[in-house]
Amino acid sequence: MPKTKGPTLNPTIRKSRKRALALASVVTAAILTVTGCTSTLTPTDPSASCSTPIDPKTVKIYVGVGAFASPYFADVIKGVQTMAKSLGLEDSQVIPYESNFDGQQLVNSLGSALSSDEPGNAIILADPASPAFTKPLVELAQENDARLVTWWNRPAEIHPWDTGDGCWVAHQSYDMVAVSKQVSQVLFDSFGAEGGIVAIGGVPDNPTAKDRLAGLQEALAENPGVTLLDSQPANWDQTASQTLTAQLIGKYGTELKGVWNANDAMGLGSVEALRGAGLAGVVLATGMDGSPNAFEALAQGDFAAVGSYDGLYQGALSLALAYSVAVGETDLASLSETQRAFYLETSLVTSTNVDGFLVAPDLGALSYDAIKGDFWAKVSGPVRVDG
Amino acid sequence: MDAATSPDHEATRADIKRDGVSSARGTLARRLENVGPLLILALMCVVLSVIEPRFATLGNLQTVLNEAAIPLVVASGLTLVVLMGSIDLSAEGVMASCSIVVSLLVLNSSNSLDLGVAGILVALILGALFGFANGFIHARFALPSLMVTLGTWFVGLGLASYLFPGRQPAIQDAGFRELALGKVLGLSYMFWIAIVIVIALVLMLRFTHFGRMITAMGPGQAQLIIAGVPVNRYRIGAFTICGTLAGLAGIMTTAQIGAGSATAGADQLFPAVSAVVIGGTLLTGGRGGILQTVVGVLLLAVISSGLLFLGVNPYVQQAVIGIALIGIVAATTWRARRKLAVVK
Repeated sequence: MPKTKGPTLNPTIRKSRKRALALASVVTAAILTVTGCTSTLTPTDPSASCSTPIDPKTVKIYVGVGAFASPYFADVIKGVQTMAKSLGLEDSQVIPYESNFDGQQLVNSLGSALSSDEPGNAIILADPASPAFTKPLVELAQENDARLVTWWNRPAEIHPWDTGDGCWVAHQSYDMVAVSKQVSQVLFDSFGAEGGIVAIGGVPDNPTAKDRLAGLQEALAENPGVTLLDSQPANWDQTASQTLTAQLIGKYGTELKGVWNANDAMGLGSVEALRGAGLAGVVLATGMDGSPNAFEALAQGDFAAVGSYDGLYQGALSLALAYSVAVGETDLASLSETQRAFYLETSLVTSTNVDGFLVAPDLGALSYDAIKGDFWAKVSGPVRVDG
Repeated sequence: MDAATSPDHEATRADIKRDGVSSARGTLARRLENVGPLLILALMCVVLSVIEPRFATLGNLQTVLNEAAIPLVVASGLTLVVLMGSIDLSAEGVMASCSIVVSLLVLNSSNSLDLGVAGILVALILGALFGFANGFIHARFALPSLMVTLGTWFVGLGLASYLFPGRQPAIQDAGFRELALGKVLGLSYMFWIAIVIVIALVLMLRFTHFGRMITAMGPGQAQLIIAGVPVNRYRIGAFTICGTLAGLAGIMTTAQIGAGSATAGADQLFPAVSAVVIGGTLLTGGRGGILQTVVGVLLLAVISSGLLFLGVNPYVQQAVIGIALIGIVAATTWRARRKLAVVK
């Protein structure tokens, strides 16, 4: 197809226009550089960034998690490693980093690591720890031509399809409001939905913590017989939750019929405080994450319910999708918005179905061949505006 | 005009008189400094009991004391170091690694080991080694304890993360769990262990040469060195005890939550430092002691429990605790503020 020509111009005018354009570009670039808007200078053509296929033999896969010593994040890393193995990659090609839930720390660590790499040959799979660090992470990926899949945290105004010039492959999260509401209802039912509970929350300003509390509030609205006696944050921490629950037992005594928790670790801390007061198994707690210890607490009758999501599958799927795009098997432009910002399925685990969650997971199901047929087989829906 | 009636002489007599008054005031102030935190603690308990009668129940008293056991152990060890004018920031890292180590050595869900008491001893030795390393590097190479112990804090956290087996090790050793679950007079064995440690350290500081040297080192290390006292040996000894007690606190946390945790020491350091300071031990060293620290720990425990009972919004609790800390320190160490000023 012949190129469309523009209107013919006098050569002198054309030359001076070129000069003016060049001058304008330089001035604009200087202004944008001074004002710190360099990212807007990157080409808008999607083919310009992250367009070169990666080299599987040398690609580096950076995995950014909250903490290595978290059973959930340990599963995520294991899922990535299992998928990498199924892709024929060496163990050394997967490089995990922990942010200690500090997004700035993660961006700094990844920035240092990527600066020593050849551009265009890296995949980043990371939880930015807070929505504030999602954009810096996307910009980091863009500057280094690295493919990026983000987890959990994303500000409402940016999406993989409108930010990152094709380097931000996808954002994946879980619908915490829905599963938290289900877990809360099982807790209420354990005491006949008449009485008081206390809620132990995560880090107060964290979006995931807020979503989980929102699920509890929705369940409370539908159960007028249940009173929320107190709601206190324990910052996701098991020890802090144990201390806090012990204090709350001291305050509310027999009024207390259940302890709702925003994650498994805090749930397990609550159970130990209840055990210390001789109330374990009488006053039930809840968990959220799906760690093996929480399932055991559920099987023993200390927990009423656990909201579970599969970290192994999450890690494996995220690498599979990023890899597929990075080697050119999947065309990013052909994907819908739901395929690039999605929730994965969650499970409500109670005493009736916990046995199925106590068995060792089937790592064979995490191979590239098993997943690439339908990357979205376990998607439950698009991510809400701020998830 | 003779010298005795000269204005200069009058001025001198007036000065002597003033000095006498200020000396009496000084004694009173010093006494107030010593008992001030205790008075504030008593006052706080009375006020809270009046406002919220549920605070004053025996059950809640037991809860407050049980929850104070671990902070007592951490802060008591730290007091020894602060008395020398040093600081130990490594408690959280030491607690984390000792928690993971003990959880992997007693009967647990991650491996088949069942070392029982030997497992606890290994974790205690690890804590002691951390403390020894802190003291040795700080004393032998004359490096600031702040920086050395900041480093070992992260070494401890790193070791805990490295040893973390992927799945959190749950404790299955019932005897070990009894440390937290077993009770005498409604108070856990851990609380009684903390009391034994407090008494032992009080006696050590008062009646042993080692203890007296620790207190003497704060204001007068230079004189001790001139006198030929092997100060480094005492310094390393104090850090080793501090590390051992941090390790014990990690072990106690493990017994309490029933699992090894790499965050076992989370948020333990700054409350411990606060407890030491509000109790009345100077950060410059030389003055203070274990009993003052006990009062400091109890003050923090009562504030924390009190805020919960009063239903103070959790978002402002930290701020309230911060303001209370400043207020208590200002009220109890007002006379010593010149000495404290050297701590930038």
